[in-house]
Amino acid sequence: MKFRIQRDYRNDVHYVWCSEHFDSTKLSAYAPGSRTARSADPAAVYWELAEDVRTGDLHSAKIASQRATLKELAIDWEAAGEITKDEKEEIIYMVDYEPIQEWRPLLYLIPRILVTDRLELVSIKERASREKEYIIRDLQRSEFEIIEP
Amino acid sequence: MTETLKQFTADERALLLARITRRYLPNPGIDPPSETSPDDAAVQERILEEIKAHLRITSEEEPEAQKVLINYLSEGMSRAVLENADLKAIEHRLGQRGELPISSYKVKFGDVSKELKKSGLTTNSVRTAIYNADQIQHLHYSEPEQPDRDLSLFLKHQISSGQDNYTLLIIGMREGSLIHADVAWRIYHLEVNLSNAHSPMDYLEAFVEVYGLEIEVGDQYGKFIKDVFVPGRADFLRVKGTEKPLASGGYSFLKGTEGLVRRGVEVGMVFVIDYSKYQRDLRKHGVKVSKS
Repeated sequence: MKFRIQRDYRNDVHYVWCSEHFDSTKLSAYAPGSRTARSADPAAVYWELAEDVRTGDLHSAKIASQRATLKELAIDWEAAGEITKDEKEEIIYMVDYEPIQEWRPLLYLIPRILVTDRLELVSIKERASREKEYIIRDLQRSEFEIIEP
Repeated sequence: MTETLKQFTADERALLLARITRRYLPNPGIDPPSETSPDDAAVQERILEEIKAHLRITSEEEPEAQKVLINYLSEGMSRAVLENADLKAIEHRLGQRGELPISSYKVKFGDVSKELKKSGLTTNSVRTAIYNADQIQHLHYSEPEQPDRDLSLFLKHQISSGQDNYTLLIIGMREGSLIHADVAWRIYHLEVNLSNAHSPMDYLEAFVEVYGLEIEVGDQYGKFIKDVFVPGRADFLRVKGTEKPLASGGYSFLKGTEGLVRRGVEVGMVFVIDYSKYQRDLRKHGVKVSKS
Protein backbone atom coordinates (compact mmCIF):
# COMPACT_ATOMS: atom_id res chain seq x y z
CA MET A 1 0.00 0.00 0.00
CA LYS A 2 2.70 2.45 0.98
CA PHE A 3 4.70 1.58 -2.13
CA ARG A 4 1.68 2.21 -4.36
CA ILE A 5 0.90 5.53 -2.71
CA GLN A 6 4.46 6.76 -3.07
CA ARG A 7 4.64 5.49 -6.64
CA ASP A 8 1.33 7.00 -7.72
CA TYR A 9 1.12 10.17 -5.63
CA ARG A 10 4.74 11.06 -4.82
CA ASN A 11 6.27 10.78 -8.29
CA ASP A 12 7.70 7.35 -7.48
CA VAL A 13 9.99 8.87 -4.87
CA HIS A 14 10.04 6.73 -1.76
CA TYR A 15 10.62 7.66 1.88
CA VAL A 16 12.11 4.67 3.67
CA TRP A 17 13.23 3.79 7.18
CA CYS A 18 15.85 1.10 6.78
CA SER A 19 18.54 -1.02 8.35
CA GLU A 20 21.91 -2.38 7.26
CA HIS A 21 20.91 -5.94 8.16
CA PHE A 22 17.83 -7.91 7.24
CA ASP A 23 17.78 -10.39 10.08
CA SER A 24 19.69 -9.58 13.26
CA THR A 25 19.15 -13.08 14.64
CA LYS A 26 21.39 -14.45 11.87
CA LEU A 27 24.33 -12.23 12.85
CA SER A 28 27.12 -13.35 15.16
CA ALA A 29 26.74 -12.20 18.73
CA TYR A 30 29.21 -9.32 18.55
CA ALA A 31 28.58 -8.16 14.99
CA PRO A 32 27.18 -4.68 14.37
CA GLY A 33 23.41 -4.94 14.19
CA SER A 34 23.17 -8.13 16.21
CA ARG A 35 21.29 -6.39 19.03
CA THR A 36 18.69 -4.73 16.86
CA ALA A 37 15.38 -4.62 18.68
CA ARG A 38 12.70 -6.87 17.30
CA SER A 39 10.46 -3.90 16.49
CA ALA A 40 13.21 -2.45 14.28
CA ASP A 41 14.45 -5.67 12.74
CA PRO A 42 13.36 -5.84 9.07
CA ALA A 43 12.91 -9.62 9.16
CA ALA A 44 10.77 -9.51 12.31
CA VAL A 45 8.68 -6.61 10.98
CA TYR A 46 8.33 -8.38 7.64
CA TRP A 47 7.15 -11.67 9.06
CA GLU A 48 4.79 -10.09 11.58
CA LEU A 49 3.04 -8.14 8.84
CA ALA A 50 3.12 -11.09 6.44
CA GLU A 51 1.43 -13.25 9.09
CA ASP A 52 -1.21 -10.58 9.81
CA VAL A 53 -2.02 -10.41 6.10
CA ARG A 54 -1.96 -14.20 5.64
CA THR A 55 -4.41 -14.71 8.48
CA GLY A 56 -6.52 -11.68 7.52
CA ASP A 57 -6.03 -10.16 10.97
CA LEU A 58 -8.45 -7.23 10.99
CA HIS A 59 -7.05 -6.03 14.32
CA SER A 60 -3.41 -5.99 13.24
CA ALA A 61 -1.62 -3.28 15.23
CA LYS A 62 0.96 -2.94 12.48
CA ILE A 63 -1.67 -2.28 9.82
CA ALA A 64 -3.62 0.07 12.10
CA SER A 65 -0.48 2.10 12.67
CA GLN A 66 0.30 2.18 8.94
CA ARG A 67 -3.25 3.25 8.16
CA ALA A 68 -3.00 6.16 10.59
CA THR A 69 0.42 7.12 9.24
CA LEU A 70 -0.72 7.21 5.62
CA LYS A 71 -3.85 9.20 6.43
CA GLU A 72 -1.84 11.67 8.48
CA LEU A 73 0.61 12.06 5.61
CA ALA A 74 -2.12 12.49 2.98
CA ILE A 75 -3.75 15.26 5.03
CA ASP A 76 -0.38 16.88 5.57
CA TRP A 77 0.61 16.66 1.87
CA GLU A 78 -2.65 18.29 0.82
CA ALA A 79 -2.29 21.04 3.41
CA ALA A 80 1.20 21.69 2.04
CA GLY A 81 -0.13 21.83 -1.53
CA GLU A 82 1.81 18.74 -2.58
CA ILE A 83 -1.25 16.73 -3.62
CA THR A 84 -4.80 17.73 -4.61
CA LYS A 85 -7.95 17.28 -2.54
CA ASP A 86 -9.03 14.49 -4.92
CA GLU A 87 -5.73 12.72 -4.40
CA LYS A 88 -6.02 13.02 -0.62
CA GLU A 89 -9.48 11.49 -0.78
CA GLU A 90 -8.26 8.69 -3.03
CA ILE A 91 -5.43 7.82 -0.63
CA ILE A 92 -7.73 7.72 2.37
CA TYR A 93 -10.30 5.70 0.42
CA MET A 94 -7.66 3.14 -0.57
CA VAL A 95 -6.25 2.94 2.94
CA ASP A 96 -9.72 2.31 4.39
CA TYR A 97 -11.40 0.17 1.79
CA GLU A 98 -8.83 -1.93 -0.01
CA PRO A 99 -8.48 -5.59 0.97
CA ILE A 100 -5.94 -6.68 3.53
CA GLN A 101 -3.77 -8.31 0.82
CA GLU A 102 -2.82 -4.79 -0.27
CA TRP A 103 -0.96 -4.45 3.05
CA ARG A 104 1.37 -7.34 2.36
CA PRO A 105 4.96 -6.42 3.16
CA LEU A 106 7.51 -5.76 0.44
CA LEU A 107 11.21 -6.02 1.08
CA TYR A 108 13.35 -3.33 -0.51
CA LEU A 109 16.90 -4.26 -1.41
CA ILE A 110 18.88 -1.02 -1.61
CA PRO A 111 22.54 -1.12 -2.73
CA ARG A 112 24.29 1.09 -0.25
CA ILE A 113 26.62 2.61 -2.82
CA LEU A 114 23.68 4.34 -4.50
CA VAL A 115 22.47 6.10 -1.37
CA THR A 116 25.49 6.59 0.89
CA ASP A 117 25.33 10.38 0.66
CA ARG A 118 21.66 10.48 1.48
CA LEU A 119 21.54 8.19 4.52
CA GLU A 120 20.31 10.04 7.58
CA LEU A 121 20.91 8.39 10.90
CA VAL A 122 17.77 8.07 13.01
CA SER A 123 18.11 9.96 16.27
CA ILE A 124 19.27 7.57 18.98
CA LYS A 125 16.40 8.45 21.27
CA GLU A 126 13.94 7.46 18.55
CA ARG A 127 15.58 4.11 17.83
CA ALA A 128 14.22 0.92 19.28
CA SER A 129 17.77 -0.13 20.22
CA ARG A 130 21.28 1.29 19.98
CA GLU A 131 21.85 -0.32 16.60
CA LYS A 132 21.85 1.98 13.59
CA GLU A 133 18.72 2.78 11.61
CA TYR A 134 18.55 5.11 8.63
CA ILE A 135 16.13 7.30 6.75
CA ILE A 136 16.29 7.90 3.01
CA ARG A 137 13.86 10.64 2.08
CA ASP A 138 14.12 10.45 -1.68
CA LEU A 139 14.78 6.89 -2.76
CA GLN A 140 14.25 6.60 -6.51
CA ARG A 141 12.57 3.55 -7.98
CA SER A 142 15.74 2.75 -9.93
CA GLU A 143 17.68 2.51 -6.65
CA PHE A 144 16.02 -0.53 -5.14
CA GLU A 145 14.71 -3.96 -5.96
CA ILE A 146 11.49 -5.29 -4.49
CA ILE A 147 11.55 -8.77 -3.05
CA GLU A 148 8.55 -10.78 -1.96
CA PRO A 149 10.07 -13.93 -0.43
CA MET B 1 -16.98 13.78 17.64
CA THR B 2 -15.72 15.79 20.59
CA GLU B 3 -17.25 19.12 21.58
CA THR B 4 -14.15 21.03 20.57
CA LEU B 5 -13.88 19.31 17.19
CA LYS B 6 -17.48 20.26 16.40
CA GLN B 7 -16.39 23.90 16.24
CA PHE B 8 -14.22 23.27 13.17
CA THR B 9 -14.81 22.59 9.48
CA ALA B 10 -14.16 19.13 8.09
CA ASP B 11 -10.79 20.19 6.61
CA GLU B 12 -9.72 21.77 9.90
CA ARG B 13 -10.81 18.69 11.84
CA ALA B 14 -8.79 16.46 9.54
CA LEU B 15 -5.71 18.59 10.03
CA LEU B 16 -6.11 18.76 13.82
CA LEU B 17 -6.54 15.00 14.08
CA ALA B 18 -3.54 14.46 11.80
CA ARG B 19 -1.38 16.66 14.04
CA ILE B 20 -2.51 14.75 17.14
CA THR B 21 -1.96 11.41 15.39
CA ARG B 22 1.61 12.37 14.57
CA ARG B 23 2.47 12.34 18.29
CA TYR B 24 1.81 8.62 18.43
CA LEU B 25 3.59 7.54 15.27
CA PRO B 26 7.26 6.60 14.85
CA ASN B 27 9.36 9.68 14.27
CA PRO B 28 12.98 9.34 13.17
CA GLY B 29 13.85 12.64 14.84
CA ILE B 30 15.75 13.98 11.83
CA ASP B 31 13.59 17.05 11.28
CA PRO B 32 13.18 20.00 13.62
CA PRO B 33 9.86 19.80 15.48
CA SER B 34 7.06 21.41 13.46
CA GLU B 35 6.03 24.80 14.72
CA THR B 36 2.69 24.90 16.47
CA SER B 37 1.30 28.12 17.86
CA PRO B 38 0.40 28.03 21.55
CA ASP B 39 -3.26 28.41 20.62
CA ASP B 40 -3.15 25.45 18.23
CA ALA B 41 -1.26 23.38 20.78
CA ALA B 42 -3.90 24.18 23.39
CA VAL B 43 -6.71 23.18 21.02
CA GLN B 44 -4.97 19.91 20.16
CA GLU B 45 -4.44 19.21 23.84
CA ARG B 46 -8.09 19.89 24.63
CA ILE B 47 -9.27 17.59 21.81
CA LEU B 48 -6.90 14.87 22.93
CA GLU B 49 -8.16 15.07 26.50
CA GLU B 50 -11.76 14.85 25.26
CA ILE B 51 -10.93 11.81 23.14
CA LYS B 52 -9.14 10.09 26.01
CA ALA B 53 -12.10 10.79 28.29
CA HIS B 54 -14.47 9.41 25.68
CA LEU B 55 -12.34 6.27 25.31
CA ARG B 56 -11.80 6.06 29.08
CA ILE B 57 -8.05 6.02 28.63
CA THR B 58 -6.25 6.90 31.81
CA SER B 59 -2.72 5.92 30.84
CA GLU B 60 -1.69 6.18 27.24
CA GLU B 61 1.58 4.37 27.95
CA GLU B 62 -0.20 1.03 27.68
CA PRO B 63 0.23 -0.43 24.15
CA GLU B 64 -3.43 -1.45 24.08
CA ALA B 65 -4.52 2.09 25.01
CA GLN B 66 -2.32 3.55 22.27
CA LYS B 67 -3.80 1.15 19.76
CA VAL B 68 -7.34 2.19 20.70
CA LEU B 69 -6.35 5.85 20.51
CA ILE B 70 -4.66 5.50 17.11
CA ASN B 71 -7.68 3.65 15.72
CA TYR B 72 -9.99 6.38 16.97
CA LEU B 73 -7.83 9.12 15.45
CA SER B 74 -7.53 7.17 12.22
CA GLU B 75 -11.31 6.78 11.92
CA GLY B 76 -11.77 10.44 12.78
CA MET B 77 -9.42 11.49 9.95
CA SER B 78 -11.36 9.31 7.51
CA ARG B 79 -14.69 10.77 8.60
CA ALA B 80 -13.41 14.32 8.29
CA VAL B 81 -11.94 13.76 4.82
CA LEU B 82 -14.61 11.53 3.33
CA GLU B 83 -17.80 12.90 4.92
CA ASN B 84 -18.45 15.23 1.98
CA ALA B 85 -16.68 13.15 -0.64
CA ASP B 86 -18.42 11.16 -3.35
CA LEU B 87 -17.17 7.64 -2.66
CA LYS B 88 -18.56 6.31 -5.92
CA ALA B 89 -16.68 8.97 -7.83
CA ILE B 90 -13.43 8.11 -6.02
CA GLU B 91 -13.91 4.43 -6.78
CA HIS B 92 -14.67 5.28 -10.40
CA ARG B 93 -11.50 7.37 -10.79
CA LEU B 94 -9.30 4.71 -9.22
CA GLY B 95 -10.96 1.98 -11.25
CA GLN B 96 -10.64 3.85 -14.53
CA ARG B 97 -6.93 4.33 -13.93
CA GLY B 98 -6.52 0.63 -13.17
CA GLU B 99 -5.53 1.34 -9.56
CA LEU B 100 -8.08 -0.77 -7.73
CA PRO B 101 -7.10 -4.26 -6.64
CA ILE B 102 -8.70 -6.77 -8.95
CA SER B 103 -11.06 -8.00 -6.24
CA SER B 104 -12.63 -4.52 -6.09
CA TYR B 105 -13.70 -4.60 -9.73
CA LYS B 106 -17.01 -6.07 -10.84
CA VAL B 107 -16.83 -8.19 -13.97
CA LYS B 108 -19.69 -7.62 -16.34
CA PHE B 109 -20.67 -9.49 -19.46
CA GLY B 110 -22.74 -7.86 -22.13
CA ASP B 111 -24.11 -9.82 -25.04
CA VAL B 112 -20.85 -11.66 -25.37
CA SER B 113 -21.69 -15.26 -24.63
CA LYS B 114 -21.63 -15.91 -28.39
CA GLU B 115 -18.17 -14.36 -28.56
CA LEU B 116 -16.91 -16.51 -25.67
CA LYS B 117 -18.41 -19.67 -27.15
CA LYS B 118 -16.16 -19.18 -30.15
CA SER B 119 -13.36 -20.11 -27.78
CA GLY B 120 -15.34 -22.76 -25.94
CA LEU B 121 -15.53 -20.59 -22.84
CA THR B 122 -18.25 -19.61 -20.41
CA THR B 123 -18.80 -16.40 -18.50
CA ASN B 124 -18.04 -18.25 -15.26
CA SER B 125 -14.67 -19.51 -16.45
CA VAL B 126 -13.71 -16.04 -17.69
CA ARG B 127 -14.82 -14.35 -14.48
CA THR B 128 -12.83 -16.83 -12.39
CA ALA B 129 -9.77 -16.30 -14.59
CA ILE B 130 -9.96 -12.52 -14.19
CA TYR B 131 -10.19 -12.67 -10.39
CA ASN B 132 -7.35 -15.18 -10.25
CA ALA B 133 -5.26 -13.78 -13.09
CA ASP B 134 -1.53 -14.54 -13.11
CA GLN B 135 -0.83 -11.23 -14.82
CA ILE B 136 -2.83 -8.08 -15.43
CA GLN B 137 -1.90 -5.16 -17.65
CA HIS B 138 -3.98 -1.99 -17.52
CA LEU B 139 -3.61 0.18 -20.60
CA HIS B 140 -5.05 3.44 -21.82
CA TYR B 141 -6.46 2.34 -25.13
CA SER B 142 -10.17 2.70 -25.83
CA GLU B 143 -12.48 1.29 -28.47
CA PRO B 144 -13.73 3.75 -31.11
CA GLU B 145 -17.36 3.23 -30.06
CA GLN B 146 -16.64 3.32 -26.32
CA PRO B 147 -14.14 6.11 -25.68
CA ASP B 148 -14.83 6.09 -21.92
CA ARG B 149 -13.60 2.55 -21.48
CA ASP B 150 -9.95 1.58 -21.19
CA LEU B 151 -8.31 -1.69 -22.08
CA SER B 152 -7.13 -4.27 -19.54
CA LEU B 153 -5.46 -7.55 -20.46
CA PHE B 154 -5.54 -10.60 -18.20
CA LEU B 155 -3.56 -13.82 -18.39
CA LYS B 156 -4.41 -17.06 -16.65
CA HIS B 157 -2.10 -20.01 -17.26
CA GLN B 158 -3.76 -23.41 -17.48
CA ILE B 159 -1.08 -26.01 -17.15
CA SER B 160 -2.16 -29.62 -17.39
CA SER B 161 -0.84 -32.40 -19.59
CA GLY B 162 1.75 -30.58 -21.69
CA GLN B 163 0.07 -31.11 -25.08
CA ASP B 164 -2.93 -29.08 -24.01
CA ASN B 165 -1.28 -26.43 -21.87
CA TYR B 166 -2.70 -23.06 -22.66
CA THR B 167 -2.92 -19.52 -21.39
CA LEU B 168 -6.24 -17.75 -21.30
CA LEU B 169 -5.95 -14.19 -22.58
CA ILE B 170 -8.89 -11.97 -21.74
CA ILE B 171 -9.56 -8.56 -23.19
CA GLY B 172 -11.52 -6.43 -20.75
CA MET B 173 -12.60 -2.84 -20.95
CA ARG B 174 -12.51 -0.79 -17.74
CA GLU B 175 -15.33 1.58 -16.99
CA GLY B 176 -14.71 2.87 -13.50
CA SER B 177 -14.82 -0.16 -11.23
CA LEU B 178 -16.48 -2.32 -13.87
CA ILE B 179 -14.65 -4.61 -16.22
CA HIS B 180 -16.56 -5.47 -19.35
CA ALA B 181 -15.09 -8.81 -20.33
CA ASP B 182 -15.85 -9.00 -24.02
CA VAL B 183 -13.32 -11.32 -25.59
CA ALA B 184 -11.16 -14.23 -24.43
CA TRP B 185 -8.85 -16.54 -26.30
CA ARG B 186 -7.08 -19.75 -25.44
CA ILE B 187 -3.44 -19.53 -26.43
CA TYR B 188 -2.17 -23.09 -26.78
CA HIS B 189 1.53 -23.27 -26.02
CA LEU B 190 1.97 -25.85 -28.74
CA GLU B 191 0.55 -23.55 -31.40
CA VAL B 192 1.94 -20.14 -30.46
CA ASN B 193 5.57 -19.32 -29.88
CA LEU B 194 5.64 -17.70 -26.44
CA SER B 195 9.36 -17.90 -25.87
CA ASN B 196 9.71 -14.11 -25.83
CA ALA B 197 6.36 -13.37 -24.25
CA HIS B 198 6.46 -11.92 -20.77
CA SER B 199 3.67 -9.36 -20.42
CA PRO B 200 0.02 -9.84 -21.41
CA MET B 201 0.65 -7.52 -24.36
CA ASP B 202 3.48 -9.83 -25.49
CA TYR B 203 1.04 -12.77 -25.37
CA LEU B 204 -1.46 -10.82 -27.43
CA GLU B 205 1.17 -9.99 -30.05
CA ALA B 206 2.31 -13.61 -30.21
CA PHE B 207 -1.31 -14.75 -30.60
CA VAL B 208 -1.96 -12.26 -33.40
CA GLU B 209 1.26 -13.30 -35.11
CA VAL B 210 -0.25 -16.80 -35.53
CA TYR B 211 -3.95 -16.08 -35.97
CA GLY B 212 -3.94 -12.54 -37.33
CA LEU B 213 -4.73 -11.53 -40.89
CA GLU B 214 -2.59 -9.11 -42.85
CA ILE B 215 -4.28 -5.76 -42.64
CA GLU B 216 -3.88 -2.27 -43.96
CA VAL B 217 -4.27 0.72 -41.67
CA GLY B 218 -3.43 4.13 -43.04
CA ASP B 219 -0.12 3.67 -44.78
CA GLN B 220 0.88 0.63 -42.73
CA TYR B 221 0.58 -3.08 -43.45
CA GLY B 222 0.99 -5.99 -41.09
CA LYS B 223 -0.81 -8.24 -38.64
CA PHE B 224 -0.41 -6.19 -35.49
CA ILE B 225 -0.35 -2.50 -36.15
CA LYS B 226 0.43 -0.06 -33.37
CA ASP B 227 0.55 3.68 -32.98
CA VAL B 228 -0.52 5.01 -36.35
CA PHE B 229 -2.37 8.19 -37.31
CA VAL B 230 -5.10 7.70 -39.91
CA PRO B 231 -6.62 10.76 -41.59
CA GLY B 232 -10.40 10.62 -41.61
CA ARG B 233 -12.44 8.60 -39.18
CA ALA B 234 -14.53 5.89 -40.76
CA ASP B 235 -13.39 2.62 -42.25
CA PHE B 236 -9.80 3.04 -41.25
CA LEU B 237 -9.25 -0.68 -41.05
CA ARG B 238 -9.17 -2.86 -44.16
CA VAL B 239 -8.03 -6.41 -44.72
CA LYS B 240 -5.07 -6.27 -47.05
CA GLY B 241 -5.91 -6.81 -50.70
CA THR B 242 -9.62 -6.06 -50.33
CA GLU B 243 -11.52 -2.88 -50.79
CA LYS B 244 -14.00 -3.66 -48.05
CA PRO B 245 -13.68 -2.44 -44.52
CA LEU B 246 -13.46 -5.21 -42.00
CA ALA B 247 -16.72 -6.92 -41.08
CA SER B 248 -15.79 -9.24 -38.22
CA GLY B 249 -12.86 -10.53 -36.26
CA GLY B 250 -11.32 -7.08 -36.10
CA TYR B 251 -10.26 -5.35 -32.95
CA SER B 252 -9.20 -1.75 -32.88
CA PHE B 253 -8.23 0.41 -29.97
CA LEU B 254 -7.62 4.12 -30.03
CA LYS B 255 -5.13 5.97 -27.93
CA GLY B 256 -7.16 6.70 -24.82
CA THR B 257 -9.90 9.29 -25.01
CA GLU B 258 -7.71 11.42 -27.25
CA GLY B 259 -7.97 8.81 -29.98
CA LEU B 260 -10.58 10.63 -31.99
CA VAL B 261 -9.15 13.92 -33.15
CA ARG B 262 -10.49 16.38 -35.68
CA ARG B 263 -8.27 15.44 -38.54
CA GLY B 264 -8.47 11.69 -38.10
CA VAL B 265 -7.87 8.84 -35.71
CA GLU B 266 -4.93 8.15 -33.40
CA VAL B 267 -4.94 4.38 -33.57
CA GLY B 268 -3.30 2.61 -30.62
CA MET B 269 -3.48 -0.97 -31.80
CA VAL B 270 -5.33 -2.88 -34.51
CA PHE B 271 -5.51 -6.52 -35.51
CA VAL B 272 -7.90 -8.96 -37.12
CA ILE B 273 -8.29 -12.53 -35.96
CA ASP B 274 -8.84 -15.31 -38.47
CA TYR B 275 -11.37 -17.27 -36.45
CA SER B 276 -11.44 -20.17 -38.90
CA LYS B 277 -7.76 -20.86 -38.30
CA TYR B 278 -8.06 -20.28 -34.56
CA GLN B 279 -11.00 -22.62 -34.19
CA ARG B 280 -9.27 -25.34 -36.21
CA ASP B 281 -6.53 -25.33 -33.59
CA LEU B 282 -9.03 -25.30 -30.74
CA ARG B 283 -10.68 -28.41 -32.16
CA LYS B 284 -7.29 -30.11 -32.43
CA HIS B 285 -7.08 -29.72 -28.66
CA GLY B 286 -10.55 -31.13 -28.13
CA VAL B 287 -12.35 -27.85 -27.46
CA LYS B 288 -15.97 -27.72 -28.52
CA VAL B 289 -16.59 -24.38 -30.15
CA SER B 290 -19.49 -22.70 -31.82
CA LYS B 291 -19.03 -21.47 -35.38
CA SER B 292 -17.62 -17.99 -35.80
